[in-house]
Amino acid sequence: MVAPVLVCCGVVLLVVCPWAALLVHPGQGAQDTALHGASALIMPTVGWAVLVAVVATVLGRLAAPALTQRTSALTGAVIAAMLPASAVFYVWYAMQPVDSGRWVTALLLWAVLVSTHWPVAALVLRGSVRTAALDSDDAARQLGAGLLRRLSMCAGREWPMWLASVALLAALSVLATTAFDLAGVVTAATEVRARAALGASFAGLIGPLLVLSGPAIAGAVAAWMCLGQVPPQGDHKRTTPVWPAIVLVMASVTAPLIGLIWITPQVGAPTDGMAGAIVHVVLRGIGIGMLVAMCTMPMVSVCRQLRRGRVRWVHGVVLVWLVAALLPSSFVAAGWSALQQWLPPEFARWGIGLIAASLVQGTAVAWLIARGMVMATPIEREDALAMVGTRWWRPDHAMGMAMVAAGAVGGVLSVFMPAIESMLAPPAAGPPLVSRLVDAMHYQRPESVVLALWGLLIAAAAVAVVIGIMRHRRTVAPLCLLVIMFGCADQSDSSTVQPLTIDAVIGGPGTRTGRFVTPRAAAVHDGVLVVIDRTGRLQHFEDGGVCAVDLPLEGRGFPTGVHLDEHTTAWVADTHSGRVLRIEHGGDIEVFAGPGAAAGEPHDLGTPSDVQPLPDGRVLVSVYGGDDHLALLGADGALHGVIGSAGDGVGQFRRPQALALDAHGQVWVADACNHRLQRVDPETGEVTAVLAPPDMRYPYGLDILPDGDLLVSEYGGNVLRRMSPDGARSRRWGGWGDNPGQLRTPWSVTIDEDAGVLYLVDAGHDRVLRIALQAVAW
Amino acid sequence: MTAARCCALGAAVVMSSIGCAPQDEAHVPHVTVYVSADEALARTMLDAFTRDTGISVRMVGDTEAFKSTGLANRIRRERVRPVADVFWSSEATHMALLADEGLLEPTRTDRTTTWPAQWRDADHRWHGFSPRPRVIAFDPEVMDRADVPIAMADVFAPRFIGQVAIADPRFGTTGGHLSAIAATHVPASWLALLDAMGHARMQVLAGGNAATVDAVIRGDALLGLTDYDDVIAAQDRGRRVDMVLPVHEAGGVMVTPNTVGVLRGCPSPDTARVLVDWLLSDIAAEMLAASASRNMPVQQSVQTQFPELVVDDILLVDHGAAAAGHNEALAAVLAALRRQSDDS
Repeated sequence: MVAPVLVCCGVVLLVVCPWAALLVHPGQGAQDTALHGASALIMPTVGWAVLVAVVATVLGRLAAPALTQRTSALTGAVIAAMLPASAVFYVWYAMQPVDSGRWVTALLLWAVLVSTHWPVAALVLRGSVRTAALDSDDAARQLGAGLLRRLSMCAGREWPMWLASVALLAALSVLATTAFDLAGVVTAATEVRARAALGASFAGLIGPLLVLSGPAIAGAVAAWMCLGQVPPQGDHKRTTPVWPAIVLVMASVTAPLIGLIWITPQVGAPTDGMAGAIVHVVLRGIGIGMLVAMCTMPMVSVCRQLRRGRVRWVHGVVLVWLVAALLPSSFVAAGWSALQQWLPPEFARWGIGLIAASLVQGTAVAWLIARGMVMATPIEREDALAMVGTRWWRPDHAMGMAMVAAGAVGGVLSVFMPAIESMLAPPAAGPPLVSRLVDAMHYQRPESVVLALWGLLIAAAAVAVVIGIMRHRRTVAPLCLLVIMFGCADQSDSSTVQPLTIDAVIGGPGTRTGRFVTPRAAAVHDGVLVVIDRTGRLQHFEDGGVCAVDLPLEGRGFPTGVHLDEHTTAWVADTHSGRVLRIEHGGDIEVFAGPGAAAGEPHDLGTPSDVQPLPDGRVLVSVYGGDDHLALLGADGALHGVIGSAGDGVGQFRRPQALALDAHGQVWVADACNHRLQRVDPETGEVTAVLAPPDMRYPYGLDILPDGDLLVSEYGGNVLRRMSPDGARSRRWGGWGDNPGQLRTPWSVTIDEDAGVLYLVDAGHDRVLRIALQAVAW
Repeated sequence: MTAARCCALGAAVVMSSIGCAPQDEAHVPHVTVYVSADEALARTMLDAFTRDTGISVRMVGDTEAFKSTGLANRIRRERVRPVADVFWSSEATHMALLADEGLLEPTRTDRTTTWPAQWRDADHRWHGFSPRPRVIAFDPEVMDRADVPIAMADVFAPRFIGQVAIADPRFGTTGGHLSAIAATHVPASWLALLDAMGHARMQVLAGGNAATVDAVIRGDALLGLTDYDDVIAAQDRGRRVDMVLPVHEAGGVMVTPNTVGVLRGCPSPDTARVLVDWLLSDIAAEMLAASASRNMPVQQSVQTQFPELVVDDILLVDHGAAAAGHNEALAAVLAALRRQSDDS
């Protein structure tokens, strides 16, 4: 009795509770929400449903024999069934000539609906075209029966399944509301969706629901009852033509694929970052598919009991379940949306309503697959399984295949449900995929639709292939684990680095005073912060506000290093002009060293990256560009000596990018391209320490904490690192990304000891971060 | 596959879902916003906000067809325990309705003190910014500009029967436009307009204003009542469409503002106010004016940078009054449209 109880719990949870919530939800009545009355919706709804269902059923019957013989035909049909009709319609809609008229649009819509629904008919009718049908057909041939006679015999034999297929497809076909919207066709399903979005009460929805309930009930009953028939068995095997299936698969899959290939180069690349949303929704679909697969276990058990005439009351439960799945998903979403009012807000934030609403259709498919699988199994085998004590929680091979099939189909069905997503999607960094896709269709942004279609096509093909290889059960667990790892890796913070705790953000992108374009150099002293960015400005930030000084650059590049001395005079390494500038707080600019220097020998400093005044009045300048070294300048700017040379040995440098003077008069050098720090005695030129953590990447910024520890900003590692001078301890913060506390190519770091803060130039985000020193404590 | 493996897989799925759910990092400031503006534009703006302030943003949008209406109803359903902090709507009517229902809390900001009164709620429960005009779209190769009606009343004239497309008036800016007309016209004019609509056999499209423009481009309609930014978007894609700004009987062109408000009882009111303030800043106005939507800036300092977007003769709308009469106006419009369905 456990399985039937679980089934009851399932229908209560997924169907009854949301419906009950909608019943008591006040909402708006029909008068306030109805644009189209129920009577006006009957003709278009029923008309479209019948037009699609009948033709799709005929085509499905033609293709059904091939699906019993060829796995490739089955795979192709499954792919065609899983393509969202709306997305496929959009491909043709985008290629439709502008002035072709409404009738062409309608024809395209009909063709697309047929192409995505004939596989359902073929799968439903598969059971009725087994070998016994061939027995009867061959017997009729031998008796001299003509084609018409044989066809009428076939119809007489298979009419229940045909009827079931038409009823089921009639209910399914009108649920592609987005495609109908694009084509400008109003049906009862589109009206339900519109009223649900308006917050209509159950009474406000009842009109169009009544129009849809007929096909839904008929489809549910027909599908359930006809799948409950034991298919005829026989030994006769004759190869039937597979060309109908091939033609249909090509028309349904290959033709849109060709269309997609044709329009892809014309629409350009999407710029709205849809790739991540595609991955997310595919992984969500796989997760929901796995839940559907698990739900299939008790369903198969219940179907086995029903076959033996037990728990007959479950028929009613299942029919309610199937009817719910055949009603518009917006109705389901409205129910869950009403139910969430009484649930903790975490239900909405975690998207539990979204998952539950998405499960309704998938689990309904699971019921049909379970029923079909059970009835297709010979009763003798069922008896044998019962004798050996098979339990529903121990799936056998057949149950396993049913689980996989149900999970695969259920998962894919859950992907494209615009109404459910728009009403139940939890807050996220960006809108969910399907909402973006529907918007892209309506806003005529084909580049986004095309990218999403490629993603969905690949996903559908992958699922179809998986159905084929799932005969090898051992591949299931590793694949699932891979998916789970993939999913979690995508969503959670993949970095092992703790984000920074930011006190304040200074600047932001822009060219106005107070904003930056790729800031690189920064220094602070006595509450005054100066920042140089790629617009060639040196900006002072202090309590009174911000002011900017335009640097007299030669147009060859922009400075990357700056230091503030005790007089708040800025020493600027004018990197690409080969000189050092000195800028007084009032704004007077002097060329201290290099071409154009007021005093001393006018020599080219190469490419100076940073400048560090020394206590004795001399100035140390780091230089790179091939002849990498440290230049020691006198107080007059004259060159007094050179420390080091280019290379990766001790005392050599490859891009010395930053300098910092410690309390012992030693100078630490950020040897960027050697991924290390070196400590140099400026008196002797001797290297007294080398720190090279294995995970250090391109240290560009460097400063000394009051306790002697080093703060290093790593341009390549996208982290801020604290290190002890002996290298024994090291800790990182930040990590690459756009989330708060993450960095993009940080450049300089500078410490304001008096204020107890540090300033980190987050160049890739065009900003400077102020961070409390406690935030970078051990 | 044993039950143990199945249970393990099931547990793994649940764990993965938990792991895949948004991580609520208590130490990272964040704000949740429901947005009915164009999602691509909104994401760009909100990414800039995050870069400027360090506050992460989680957003929920809606499809083009239902936009602000769908989100406003979602806010109503969540009124007991709000999930969102801020509602950024692409129009004013539903925002004003939420304010009247007590779902928004006053948010004072210095930014709007010099703005005209029509851009904010009298009690500061919402603020409007960066509006865009309502326009009539037409195909310049099918109609001469001189033949396109300028007066709103002439749009539903007999010569355009069956040739006018509008978005579903139950949603978005179309509904707000009609409510504004009802609020600003004398009753006799409004009734005459309704009567004309009832006989106009308009094409009411479910895909929103973008579908209206598309109908004009495809030749399914001669005229389309839509938003300025939808026509601009179509022109940017190289489509053959142009527009005129219709003038209303009460005087002026209807412009629909973006509006923003903080939800009462929201989880993060402090960061919500920061976001509201940012959206009302010059920076946001510049971004919106420079974007593909080409929204008109309200701030005079920004108007000088984008003079071509400024509409001088704006229809003065009391959005609060329009919202108060919205349900009645909508019911009348729906009745008129149902009547045209019956007639046809």
